Amino acid sequence: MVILGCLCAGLLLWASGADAAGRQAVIQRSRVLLVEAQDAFAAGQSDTALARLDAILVEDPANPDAYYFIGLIKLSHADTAGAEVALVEGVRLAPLSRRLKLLLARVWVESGKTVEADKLVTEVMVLRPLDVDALYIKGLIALAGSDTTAAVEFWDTALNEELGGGEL
Amino acid sequence: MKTHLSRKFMSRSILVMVFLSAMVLGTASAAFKFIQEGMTPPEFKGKDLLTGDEVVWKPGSGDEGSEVVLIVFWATWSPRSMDLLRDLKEMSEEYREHAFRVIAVNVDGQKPTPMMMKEISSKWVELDLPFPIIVDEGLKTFYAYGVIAVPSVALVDGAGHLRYGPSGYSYIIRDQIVDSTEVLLGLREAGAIATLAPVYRPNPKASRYYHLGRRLASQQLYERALGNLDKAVEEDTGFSSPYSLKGQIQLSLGEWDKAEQNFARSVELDSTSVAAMAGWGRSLLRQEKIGEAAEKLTAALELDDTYTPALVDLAECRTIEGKLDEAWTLYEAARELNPRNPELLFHLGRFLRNKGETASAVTVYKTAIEQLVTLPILESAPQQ
Repeated sequence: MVILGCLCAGLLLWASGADAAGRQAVIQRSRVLLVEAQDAFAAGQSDTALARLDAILVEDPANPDAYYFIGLIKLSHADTAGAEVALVEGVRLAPLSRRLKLLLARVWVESGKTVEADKLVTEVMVLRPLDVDALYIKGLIALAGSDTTAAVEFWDTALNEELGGGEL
Repeated sequence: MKTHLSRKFMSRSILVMVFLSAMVLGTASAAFKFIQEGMTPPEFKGKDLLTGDEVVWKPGSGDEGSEVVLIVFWATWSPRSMDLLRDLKEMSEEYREHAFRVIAVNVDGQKPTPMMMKEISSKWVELDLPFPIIVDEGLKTFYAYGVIAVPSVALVDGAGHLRYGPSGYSYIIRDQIVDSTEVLLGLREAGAIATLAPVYRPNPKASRYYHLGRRLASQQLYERALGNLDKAVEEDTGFSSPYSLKGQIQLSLGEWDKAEQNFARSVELDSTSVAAMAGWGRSLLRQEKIGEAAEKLTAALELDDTYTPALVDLAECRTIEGKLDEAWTLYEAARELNPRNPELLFHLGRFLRNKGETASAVTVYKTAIEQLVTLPILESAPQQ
């Protein structure tokens, strides 16, 4: 009985070890594919980049970074609907991700969903009230509402934060 | 060779000269905030735009056959950069049998985007350039050198010393680049036009302390940077750059009076340093000594009328003095030179806002903040 117990425990340990090693290999492959996707995107090869990102999601369907870059690429090609689908999924998987939320907010501004965008940006600004990206989107939202004074105020705040004290 | 080359350049340059002469009658003064002529510029690396190969540049050893290297900082949005690249192409071809190399560092923006890469590639194809272009990701090299205006050139001799570093591009600068290069290549004697002034060579130990201080300052480790700069001036009391950098750090720390003293000392040692003169002006401006600040800033612009920080600060002085038209002219001149400089646009935006020109201010602020955000910048405007 004891021997059988030890054997089972050993098997479980081996299985979990193999599982961890397999997971590690997936993470490693995803990282490589992500770098390749970024390089391809930077070189203007969006199709190649998207193929790499799709390959990540086949093995690792809950990878928020892949959704972020898919959103980024689709937005860059003015495919706001496609970007929105990817980014909504990304935010669902990583609800605390600042960059996913801000990119989704940017997409929503572009597609006229300024109320939803404002809600997301406000969530980010609770933690980072002087976030330059968030203030940029706030300004865009204000502009979309034809409030140029508010837009200038948001951007002045951001620029003052970024440049005001920096002399070097 | 000189005559042949100059003649080729001459025909095209006459027109350029007419347009630019108003801007460039001053001298071709230092292009870099942190590197003075005679010093060893920092090494840098980046990917060749065309081949994807890594290009690494390190200052030369001075051994036989060491190359004279011309580093050009350029951007697609700068028309003068295009004139400069065309001329450098000719130079590169003319001197291909000699130990001469051009490296073009693109400084279009902080983060390369596909659109930006496309624009750079299209310029490369259009100009058919025979030398590598590297894209300065994060503008690391731009900041390490303290580039003042785009375009700027660093002509480095075989021993790895900066010998000529003008900011902007003009008829005069073009001739000086050609002449200086030919002198360094041993193709002609220094003389007629060549302006290779006897350069100040700081004590090597002082130079090392200075570079360490510069690197620490770029990481905002100001106390340690100041310590190293103090050691640099202890090693070489005639070395002006450490004083100027100490002034820059003290501006960042809000220690205006100390900054003023260090810039003054730097100018005393090197009266041609536009960065030190302009820094002196800025330290006075921060202390609200407007008249004195305007005087120093004007002096800086006499040294180099393309020095954007001095244009912006003088515009601020004129605004405070109520001379709004003059301020506007200065801002416009600065914007023409650096249309995407966020600091300049920030000040211009505030100027327009205070004048009640909110619509114009929006455009300017938007351009400024778009240089700083990490989000993608879209061509289309959001729906209204």
